[in-house]
Amino acid sequence: MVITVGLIGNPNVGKTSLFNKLVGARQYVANWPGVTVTRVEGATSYKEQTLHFIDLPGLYTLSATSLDEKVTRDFLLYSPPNVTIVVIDSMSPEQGMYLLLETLELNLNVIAVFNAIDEAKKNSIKFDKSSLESYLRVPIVLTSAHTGEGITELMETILATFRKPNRPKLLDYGPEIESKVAEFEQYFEDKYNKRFLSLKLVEGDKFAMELLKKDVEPTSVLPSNMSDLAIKIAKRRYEYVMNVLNRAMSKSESAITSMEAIDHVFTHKYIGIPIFFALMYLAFNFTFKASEPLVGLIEVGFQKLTDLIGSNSIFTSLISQGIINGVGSVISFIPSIFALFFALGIMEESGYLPRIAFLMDRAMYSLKLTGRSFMTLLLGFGCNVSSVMAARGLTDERERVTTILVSPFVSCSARIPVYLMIIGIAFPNHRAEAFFVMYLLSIALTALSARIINKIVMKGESIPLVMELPRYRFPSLSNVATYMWNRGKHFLQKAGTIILVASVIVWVLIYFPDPTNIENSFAAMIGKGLQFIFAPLGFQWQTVSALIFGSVAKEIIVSSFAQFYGGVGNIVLDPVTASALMVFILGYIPCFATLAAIKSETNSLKYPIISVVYSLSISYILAFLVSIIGRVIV
Amino acid sequence: MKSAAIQLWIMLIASLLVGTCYIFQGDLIFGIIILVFSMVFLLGFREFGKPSYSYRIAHIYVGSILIAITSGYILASFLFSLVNLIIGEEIMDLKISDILLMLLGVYSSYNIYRLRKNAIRPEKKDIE
Repeated sequence: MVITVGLIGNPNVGKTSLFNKLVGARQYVANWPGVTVTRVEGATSYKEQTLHFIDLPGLYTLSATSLDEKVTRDFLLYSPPNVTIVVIDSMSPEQGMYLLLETLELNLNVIAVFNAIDEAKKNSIKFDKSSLESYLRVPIVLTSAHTGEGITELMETILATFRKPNRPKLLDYGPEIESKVAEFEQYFEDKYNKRFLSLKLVEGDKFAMELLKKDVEPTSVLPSNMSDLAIKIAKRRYEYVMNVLNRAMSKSESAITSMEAIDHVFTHKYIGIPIFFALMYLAFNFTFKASEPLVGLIEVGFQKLTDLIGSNSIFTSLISQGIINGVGSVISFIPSIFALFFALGIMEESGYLPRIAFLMDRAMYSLKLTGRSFMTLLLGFGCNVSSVMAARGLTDERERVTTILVSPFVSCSARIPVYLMIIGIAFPNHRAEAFFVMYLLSIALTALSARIINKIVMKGESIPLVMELPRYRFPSLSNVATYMWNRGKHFLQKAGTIILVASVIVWVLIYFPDPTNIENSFAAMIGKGLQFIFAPLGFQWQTVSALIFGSVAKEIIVSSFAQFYGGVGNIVLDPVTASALMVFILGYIPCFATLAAIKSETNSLKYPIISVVYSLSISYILAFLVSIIGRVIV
Repeated sequence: MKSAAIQLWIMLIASLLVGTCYIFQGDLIFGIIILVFSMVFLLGFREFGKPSYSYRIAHIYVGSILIAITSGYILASFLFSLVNLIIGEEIMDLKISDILLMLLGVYSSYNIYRLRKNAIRPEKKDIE
């Protein structure tokens, strides 16, 4: 027997942490809302029963507007699970309980889980479980996904609820609304939950209007005072929630809490942004200092291996130059990448990064985006595909498409080894500063592009940001390690697949037709043939060829350079050309995976084409400007 | 416990000294970072009105956390550089400003502990 259990709740209440605890999974958990944008499934056995858990994207109300919220609503409506768990944040349960009342209208077997009970304890928040159960008329379980408290009780409650279905009496909204609901029920087919859809219709939900019987015109049945009724429904639910909490929850007040103190300073109107930049600089500096010895160790190891094998025959050349030198030059940057994501993981896991979204909201609004876009774009620092996919959490279509189109300008992990290589060659004494500038440029280019796209392609105004800030928490090592691994693993996977294959192809293009002189190779022919386009930027044929190969995946630029020059240590680049090259790489052409994601998320070929043409043009113009200004100064 | 204003003065002057020391030793950006953090203490004096005491405490608390993080970062960088011994390269050279920052970091950690105990941390109660 398989029991399906759906996990729903507001964003960032710990659904995925709870899911991981229940099924022993390692899904990525972040301390900010909107991480789960699609359903995730996992199963476990308990008392000879198979429990099939489905972790659903977070939402505040079942009147879903964004794509990820619709996933949750449609799942509950069209394929309801045997048991539905509504996860509520114990620290601020009001909105979670509002969603619970809405869910009860769906006539499901519901369990209310008050999660993060350990943090509630620390903050002297006390729940009277029996009062909650008697007022809400559903089983209540107090859990902590962090410590594991209440997990066994939850498993027992799932089995008990499944065996003895508990579908409580619904909330009474008063005669005016109840009569409208009763009247509207006739407009829906019997296969639907009529009461739920009628309530949604009174609330003015577009989805409910779409499900009306074919001969019913929404405009003819909807009352003129519909928005007043919707407000009355929301008010009635909140009144009920507050009454329950007044009776079942107690809180002790203190002068100032740790979170209030931290928030007061980190979101300070004068010092908030400078603190953010200072902490980012520390993170980048840490990346270099922490990883430098390990990078050196790996480089020495690969160099010794290359020398040992030599390159006298075609076979040894393929192994030493094509594979070890080509792939090894990329692999040697792995400690830096993992160190960077470790530092960013701490900032995100602690709950600090969402505050930056809050601080940046005013600036983002002037770009016709919001702080929520900023959070989505932050995912792009790992992989641009992630931010393109996460944009489905944005409610406004114009904002969603704009975010998708500017995502490729966020410096993803694939670009890190390229920057590290170039900075190491051209700016050996100012590496952290140069790296920091590249990230600032990345943010500036993203902002500029958002402005341009909103001016030309996607016209409209932004919906103001309403965002619940997560609590600060001490980052757990396991969560930071998971963050670091999830962001960095793409790099390792690519090293063993696409970079390996590309390195061998580059080696073939270098080795043939004349193994004795690289200037006569196919790679040189390609680079020299197109060099005239890049001549204004000061790029040699090696750079041109590397950029062409790197359009598949940016790391291949490093591999190509290492093979053209016989090792990263032999590359020569002056600071001006290096700067122009980095600026060009920052923007030029999204990788194939990102282009595929843009096409699938926009369901159109137009946007990937716009992305390629725009990114090539803007990066060329900017690199040209850097080259001109740099040569004038130097 | 000393008054919030005296604490703010102590931390402000100490962090300004360390930041200036970094700038004079040629580490301009790191010096600016310490000066940015010292502004947290300076802005603590701008807190007026009824809850000003609590907010001044907030500035001492968060400023101390930032200084502790920065000194922890210097310590971690030094420890990581010990790996250099394996490949025969030099370890990180600790300058006077680094030592001063680490000492200030120790004092900041004590500040954080003391504030959490006396001014910020809520008392614990059992929960059903």
